[in-house]
Amino acid sequence: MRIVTVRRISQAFFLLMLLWMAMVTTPGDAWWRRRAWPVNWLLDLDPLTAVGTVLTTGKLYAGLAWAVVVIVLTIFLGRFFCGWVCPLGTIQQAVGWLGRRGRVLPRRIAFNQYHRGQSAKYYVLLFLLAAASGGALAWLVRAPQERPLAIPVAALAGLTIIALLTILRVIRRPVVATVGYLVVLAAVAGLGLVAPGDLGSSAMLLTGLADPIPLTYRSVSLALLAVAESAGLSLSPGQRWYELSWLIGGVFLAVVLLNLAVPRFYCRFVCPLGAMLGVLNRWSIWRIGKRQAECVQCKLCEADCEGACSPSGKIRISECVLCMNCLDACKHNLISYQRPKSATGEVTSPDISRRGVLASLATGLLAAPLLRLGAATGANYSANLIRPPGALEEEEFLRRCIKCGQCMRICPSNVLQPAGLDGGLEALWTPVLNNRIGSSGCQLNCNTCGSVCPTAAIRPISLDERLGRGEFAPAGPIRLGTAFLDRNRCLPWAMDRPCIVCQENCPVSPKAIFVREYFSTIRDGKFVVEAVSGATMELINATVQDGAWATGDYYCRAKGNPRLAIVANGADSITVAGPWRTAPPAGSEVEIQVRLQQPYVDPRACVGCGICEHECPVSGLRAIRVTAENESRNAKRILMP
Amino acid sequence: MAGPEGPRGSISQTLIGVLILLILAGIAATILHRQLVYVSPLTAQADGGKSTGTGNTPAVNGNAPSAAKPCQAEPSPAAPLRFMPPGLSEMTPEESFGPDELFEKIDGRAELYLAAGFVALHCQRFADAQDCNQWMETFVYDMGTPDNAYSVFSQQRRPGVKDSDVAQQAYMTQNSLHLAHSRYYVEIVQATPTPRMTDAAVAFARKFVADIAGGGKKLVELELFPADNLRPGSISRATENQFGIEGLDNVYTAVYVVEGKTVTAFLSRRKSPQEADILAKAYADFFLPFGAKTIAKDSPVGGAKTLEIDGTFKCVFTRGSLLAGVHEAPDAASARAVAEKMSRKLTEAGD
Amino acid sequence: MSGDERTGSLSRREFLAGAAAAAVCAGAYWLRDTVGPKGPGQQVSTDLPDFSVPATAGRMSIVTGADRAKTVCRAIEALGGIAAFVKPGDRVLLKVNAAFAIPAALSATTHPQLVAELAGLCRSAGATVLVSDNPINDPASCFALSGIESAARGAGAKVLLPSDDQFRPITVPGARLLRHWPVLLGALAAVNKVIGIAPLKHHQHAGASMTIKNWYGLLGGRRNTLHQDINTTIAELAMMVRPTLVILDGTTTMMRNGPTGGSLDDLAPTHTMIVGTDPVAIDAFGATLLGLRPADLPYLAMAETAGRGTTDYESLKPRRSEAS
Repeated sequence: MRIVTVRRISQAFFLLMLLWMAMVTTPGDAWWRRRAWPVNWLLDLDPLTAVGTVLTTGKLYAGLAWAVVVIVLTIFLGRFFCGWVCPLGTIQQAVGWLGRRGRVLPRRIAFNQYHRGQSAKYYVLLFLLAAASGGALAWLVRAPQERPLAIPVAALAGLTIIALLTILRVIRRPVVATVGYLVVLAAVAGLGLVAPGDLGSSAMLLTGLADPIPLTYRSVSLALLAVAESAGLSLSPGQRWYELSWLIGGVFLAVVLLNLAVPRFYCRFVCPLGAMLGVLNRWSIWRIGKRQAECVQCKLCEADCEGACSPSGKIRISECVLCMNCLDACKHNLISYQRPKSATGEVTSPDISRRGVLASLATGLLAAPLLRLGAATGANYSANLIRPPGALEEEEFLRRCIKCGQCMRICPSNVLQPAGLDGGLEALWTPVLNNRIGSSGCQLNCNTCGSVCPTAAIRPISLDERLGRGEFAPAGPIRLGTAFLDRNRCLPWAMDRPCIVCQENCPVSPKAIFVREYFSTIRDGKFVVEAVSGATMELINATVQDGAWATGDYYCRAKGNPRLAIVANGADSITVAGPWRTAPPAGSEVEIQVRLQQPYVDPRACVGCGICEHECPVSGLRAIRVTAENESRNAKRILMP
Repeated sequence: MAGPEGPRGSISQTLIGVLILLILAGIAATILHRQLVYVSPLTAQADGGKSTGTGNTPAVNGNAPSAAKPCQAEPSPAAPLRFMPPGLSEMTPEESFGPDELFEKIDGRAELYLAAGFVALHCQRFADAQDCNQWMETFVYDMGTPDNAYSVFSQQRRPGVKDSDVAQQAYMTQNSLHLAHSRYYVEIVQATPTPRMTDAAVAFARKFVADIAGGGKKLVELELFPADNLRPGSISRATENQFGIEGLDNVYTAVYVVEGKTVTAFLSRRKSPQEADILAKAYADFFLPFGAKTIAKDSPVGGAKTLEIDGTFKCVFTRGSLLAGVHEAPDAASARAVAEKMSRKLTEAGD
Repeated sequence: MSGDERTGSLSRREFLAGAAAAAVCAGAYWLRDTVGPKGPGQQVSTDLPDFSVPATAGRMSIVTGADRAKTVCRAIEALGGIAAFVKPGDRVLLKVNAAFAIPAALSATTHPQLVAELAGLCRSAGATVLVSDNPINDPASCFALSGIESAARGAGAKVLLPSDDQFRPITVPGARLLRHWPVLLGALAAVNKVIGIAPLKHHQHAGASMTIKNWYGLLGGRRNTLHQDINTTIAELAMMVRPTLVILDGTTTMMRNGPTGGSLDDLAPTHTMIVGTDPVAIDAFGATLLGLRPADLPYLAMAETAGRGTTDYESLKPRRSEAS
């Protein structure tokens, strides 16, 4: 059996796994639903997510420990993840192969030549990591203040490590390294005297935008599967709708189709995960290389080289994705996966320049505070950004969300949507509620989204905590926001039309929406009595639709009588409920009134679930809308003490 | 030019390939296995809102806390309502408790029942239809086996109460009636000890005994204790390792008063004569480290060992699968006397 | 490339790979987080205020007699009268034992006569009275069937039935178990004096249930898990509550089958009422009425070590008298 066969099986295995996991990410116990499928396992394996969240939160959360396995294996074996596991890599490889089919050999070889632009992905990686490290740096700078001993200890430790690395010939210029290190240490100690404020310690997790695993999950869950459902594939209860899917799907299509022009375009030029693995594999025990230097230079090995790493010459280890195509293609068996270096030499370091490194680091470090200057996470927060129940406070949330789309996929009422640029660039594609979309607002007895978030940007809460029961009773239920009535649009307030749909559907007990009655004379509602017989009164000059006033909401105000309910009406007569106190005389005036139950919202009881907004019949701009005030997750946004 | 290596698809490629395929198969198998053993949280009826679960459904969760649980789905054959005496009506709904919730009803006493194999408790209060200030509460404990029911019955027996004829094992106090019948232990506690309520309690008990089968057989061990000088109502059974000796469970004890001296005898049915012998030795050996001295290897009771420790005398012997002896006696003579009587009775019984 | 050079660089590479892998694993282990982030605003935990009246420390009185009302009145008189403990305008919590929905005659719960008597005394001293407990069975039926509710209402006291939102977590300083534990602050925060009234009972698990164990009824949450370390729990209860006064009712003591009892035959007419400000001493004396020695109740020594009283009750020179 050839190793490339095994690689293809492995790639198919993980691609099918991703597709399957995305398909079953829907609540339920049947085998084709969530059940106990580990739908997040591929996300957990992703080292970029793990490293990113460690930088932004200082902790390695739960399932992300799987990433350590991948990192350790990469250190020993090389970029097997890119060539054997990554589903986006598989898709790209397949499309790239399609693009190369039938081409002549020189053309195919030309497709796979190393291009200088391949160093771009390292700059992307550095940018992302720098943007994520604001908090870690702030901690570093503050540490000496709290523990003054840290500085001499760090100095000693650093010098020892430099010495060791020099002996191991990792560091070639120990003097430079030592001086550089001490300068940095002094700077850190000095900066400690000027502790950075909140803005300076901003950190944001942007890795999810470029990281291939969340990208693929997002594209499949929110775009591809939703399109498949519209074509008939029934996975969720009803068609799923997602805002901005055009962008998500578009990006994905672009990524995939670019492979027709350049194979594995994303992997070679953009992918920060590949970049990180490429840096990690410089000391791998086994690597692709030539057994001996003499070869006919037929370049067959490069006809299908996925990583564009030049196996025929000085192989670039950081670009090699272990596709094994070169090994398979060489007719003379010169290429192998071996411990010694390649006989024709190898390049272990990525082709990046110091200038480029500094530029990307600086840009990343500046990006975070720059993006936060808009106060989008502070006073200038977007009131329309309603986050799911269990979501952390906004800055914490943005340190963890990788925009993988799992919560949006599994939400049973389809109310979670990918955000646009409302909350800033860093909130792009993070989950927000849109109560107009989906089957109902946020269902009260549901904690599904938190149970599926791989990084705990949405905490896995219990129902007790959500509803404020049991040990959480003193804290009360989790509030997502508050509903605000738009009296200019609400039917009973602005249009003289009875409606209490929002109050009826409010799910909390006692209801957060209460009504006050208000009677209003309808338009052209004054009539003159012609005659009264029993409970029926005939009116002069009335032409009313039969039964129009018989809905139970209309009342009759006649002279000398209290307001009486109208139970039936003909074209020009009405029948009231109950006897007249005094029968209205003919010729007297009578007013037809409508009883309006005008809703009010009690902010102490409202949890912001959005069911009222969803049910409101004013279907465009809803007459009752939930906004983020008073949400539980942010103490600064309370409405009232 | 060609290296020393073999043809394409070499052995090493195949081997490594197979290894990797095995790893993939292992991953698939682990994932699939979890699906097979998966138990839906809905059917498991779990923990009342505490679970963060897999969030499989935005589902109903949780029973109302604290208040008495309503009747379970299928009415138990021992539901107190079945035995409600005439002239009484239900005062409160039936409550049921399993092992995990028993403490909610009887707090610290639950330990006793749980150690004795408790299965379920059904209890209910009934009041006089005319006068609701006269009421009683009935407790029906399902202990699983008649032995266990006798355990909790005998261990809670108040001293000096008189037997009642409502069941083979029953006694009455001023305001309560207690009985062990088949695998149930029943308590009927009257709020006020009026004659009306006492009659009602007796009626309940009689109906219970009549309706519930399986109480006819007497517990064998009760017959095996000789009747002479036996203090009435003193035969008791503990389920835990009696006397602190590992493996010595299912022990019946009885108190004899011989010429003013109190002697505690014991009896335990084992699975085989061999087990009885092993335990007899274990019993004797157990006290040696505490300074017990063996006295009189020979005794009228064949094969018995008599020990003395701290002024107390003990005796242990076996008859077939029965382990018997005297646990506490103030002197050797009374110990031997009781042991002798027991030995004779057991030999007669021919076990 | 010579063989040596290649081998040399190989082992260097292997070493570095191994070191890097080890560093990654160590870092991951150090930073691991299985719990996840916390939600907004944890409740701030405090401990309970001191309800005792400083001048009355170390007082104890033992009165024998069959009439509860008479014995308790005499006992309080002997300690200086109710005015020594309750001032006009005070808000007093009578922490009763209403744990079970059992008739009063079975002495498993605080006798309603005592509730009425104490409520009356406190009100006559100018205080408002609250009666509460967190029962084991359903609260409404417990307060009703034990007779405590009607006695309290009749004497002009208010009954507080516990509900979920009445509990807030507190931490007892120096405690191991009672940390962040929900406690009936709905009652405790509303008062400035606490009087515990407990029946003297045998307890299957703890040995005895007396004045210190009475505070168990202030706990919420999953308190049954505390049974696993019952003696530490009771000792920490002594640390948690510093009451104004405690009353141990040994008029008809439950000698066996506690804490629920069930038969009048379980009761012995010990006819003793013990009142005082040192719950440890009072419990130590109460143990003797049950036929136990203080050493049989490990929690007593633990509470004494924690400084909440003394097991040597004779050293307090209790005043003994009779009231028939």
